[in-house]
Amino acid sequence: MPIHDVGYRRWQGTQSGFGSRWIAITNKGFEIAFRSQWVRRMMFLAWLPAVYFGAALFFFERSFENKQLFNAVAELNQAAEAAEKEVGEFVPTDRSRALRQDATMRTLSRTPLLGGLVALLGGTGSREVFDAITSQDEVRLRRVVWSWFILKFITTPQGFALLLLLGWVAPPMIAKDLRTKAFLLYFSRPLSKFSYILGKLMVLVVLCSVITTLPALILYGCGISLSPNLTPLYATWDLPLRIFLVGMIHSIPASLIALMLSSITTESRYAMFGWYAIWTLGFVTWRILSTAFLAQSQGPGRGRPQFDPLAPLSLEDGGGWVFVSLYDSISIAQSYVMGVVEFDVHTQCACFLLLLISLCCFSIIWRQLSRATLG
Amino acid sequence: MPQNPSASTEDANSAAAMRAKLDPQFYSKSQSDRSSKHAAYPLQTVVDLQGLGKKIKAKSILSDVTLQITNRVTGLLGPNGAGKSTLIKILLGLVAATDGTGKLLGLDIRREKLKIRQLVGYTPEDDCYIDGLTGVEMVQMSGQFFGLRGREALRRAHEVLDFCGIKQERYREISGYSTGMRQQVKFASAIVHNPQFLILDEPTTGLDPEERERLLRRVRFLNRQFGIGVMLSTHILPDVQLVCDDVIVLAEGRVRAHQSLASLQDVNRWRLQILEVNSAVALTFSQQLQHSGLRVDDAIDGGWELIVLDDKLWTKDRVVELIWRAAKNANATISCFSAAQESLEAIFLKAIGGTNHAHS
Repeated sequence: MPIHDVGYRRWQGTQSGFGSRWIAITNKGFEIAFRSQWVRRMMFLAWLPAVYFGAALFFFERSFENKQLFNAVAELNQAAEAAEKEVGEFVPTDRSRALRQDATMRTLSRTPLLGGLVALLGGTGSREVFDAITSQDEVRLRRVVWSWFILKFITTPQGFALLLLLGWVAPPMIAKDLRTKAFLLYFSRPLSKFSYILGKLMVLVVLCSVITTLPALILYGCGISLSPNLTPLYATWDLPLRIFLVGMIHSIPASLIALMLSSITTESRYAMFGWYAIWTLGFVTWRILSTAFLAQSQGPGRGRPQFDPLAPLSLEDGGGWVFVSLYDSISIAQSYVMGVVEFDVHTQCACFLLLLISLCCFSIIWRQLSRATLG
Repeated sequence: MPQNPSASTEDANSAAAMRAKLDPQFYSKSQSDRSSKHAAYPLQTVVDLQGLGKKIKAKSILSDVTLQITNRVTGLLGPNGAGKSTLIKILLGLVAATDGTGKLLGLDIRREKLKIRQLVGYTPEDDCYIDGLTGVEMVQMSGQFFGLRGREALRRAHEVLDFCGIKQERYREISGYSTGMRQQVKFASAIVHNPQFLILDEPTTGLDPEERERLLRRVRFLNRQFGIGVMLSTHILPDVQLVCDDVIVLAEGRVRAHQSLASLQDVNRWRLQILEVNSAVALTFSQQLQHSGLRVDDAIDGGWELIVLDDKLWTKDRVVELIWRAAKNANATISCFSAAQESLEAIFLKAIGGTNHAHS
């Protein structure tokens, strides 16, 4: 028998509003996710590419400062123009442009990290950087390089890290609740299905943001703060908002897909398998198809076709198949938001597809929860 | 220095009174104690259902359920498939009723679901838990769903876990708990926000006898001390007899009985033990009783069981008077006679249409 036992007492405190109850799910979801050593390791490793991209931006700004890049390209252009004048009409314009671009890339490769990074941007990105350099417009060049670097950072290393992380964290999130019938505890409380989904979704969105949006914003912030003057800020002032939106475009549909897979099974390993299958199969299928389409459109004897995910083939040439790959669809939409591609038919389709996928996933989760509650 | 004996007695009394107020263990479980403890909380209608019905694909799960449940402890009885869980889910707004209207704590069950859930504590029947959480985290999280803020929810979680008798185990993950421990945590989660009405669906499943009794004591304590209305859905009839004031019997989606436990068990049977060894006297006595309108059956214990054939016409006093008069006329000696309460099981079976009229 206790000597003193207050037993049960009334609680009469201030309650939070109904609209903020999902925060408890998000907080606890975070706590549970971070208890996994693998998640902590993945989070750490996911930040490493930021060091590489940060260094590249730093060297770009240095070469920018001493005009080394412009001078080198200007000399190159003058030489190329002189050569073209001598040869006259026999060299076609696009061929000379390609040659000049190759020469510029070689020049850039002498700059530490930068050349490799520009080459990493792929066909469309490299061309954009080349155009910006040849135009000798500092503001434009800065904007193009910063936008492309950050976009590449978010889509390539961070996109891959996000895929791995969501594949590890998301599958058990609803599947376990279904298995342990925890939804009865959730929905018998003043918590709506929408709040539940929002709470779970926010765990994933915030985790995604921590490895995509946050390092990208820090990268941008470091770039600005290490700049000798405020010119980069003038040229790239809207990038933080674009970075945020680009991160959301990736994390919201991806998180909803992951949650949807988690909600249709009580075995989280099936959801995990489905998750990786969706991304891998789509990615591989589109690369095989696009290589075949490119080889067909370029004809025989032209060498290995150059694949450029951000310059998809026209719809007539099979470019519509890009949407079998969720990764590439997201990349197209992200490129538009980042301001590096136009709002063309591919971009429209990509945005529509992502919206459709998100809505479908949300409605499937809703239906599964309703069924579970009724059961 | 000698102590003043009267002062120490007063102290002891006041300490005992304080403990009785605070400690559920002190609280008497006698039936007679119930009414006196209720005096502090006036009887109020908590649930008011009018013609409530639920159909799923033309199959009627509940039909024409009209009920008024007060802030006492109400047992919800019924066989499997009677509609108990559906009724609870309708009250919580998890399932929409197809017919009728209803109010819980004055709130419309169709339109004010979240407000209702805010005021109600519910422990589901199923063995459910949130995986990955410790006991205290689950109760804290439940508190946060009810609007308690982070640290306050944690403080309150510890408070209710103390009340529920969960000690250091609260820091272990729930997935490693026994079923009984999970029941306790579920109960703690349901009361963390100081509910006005508790809905307990099979709360004693998986509990050992000692834990079961403790849980039921807590339920009664919350009802008597804090006026929290309780609806106890269970298959375990002794639980109902131990703790409930009212009983609702549901069968095939309809309310078959809804009365106070006392009135349901109201006597129409009497148990009689006579000392008479002379069989002629016994026969005369039996004839006298039968002549007065009582049926006399042999009881298992060797005595007689008297059944009042028309219980509407017979009051308790009249039956007692009749037995005395018959004994006097027959010159029989009675060693003991008492009103034989009908068992809840018999009431339950009768209500759901069974034929077994077992009695204690």
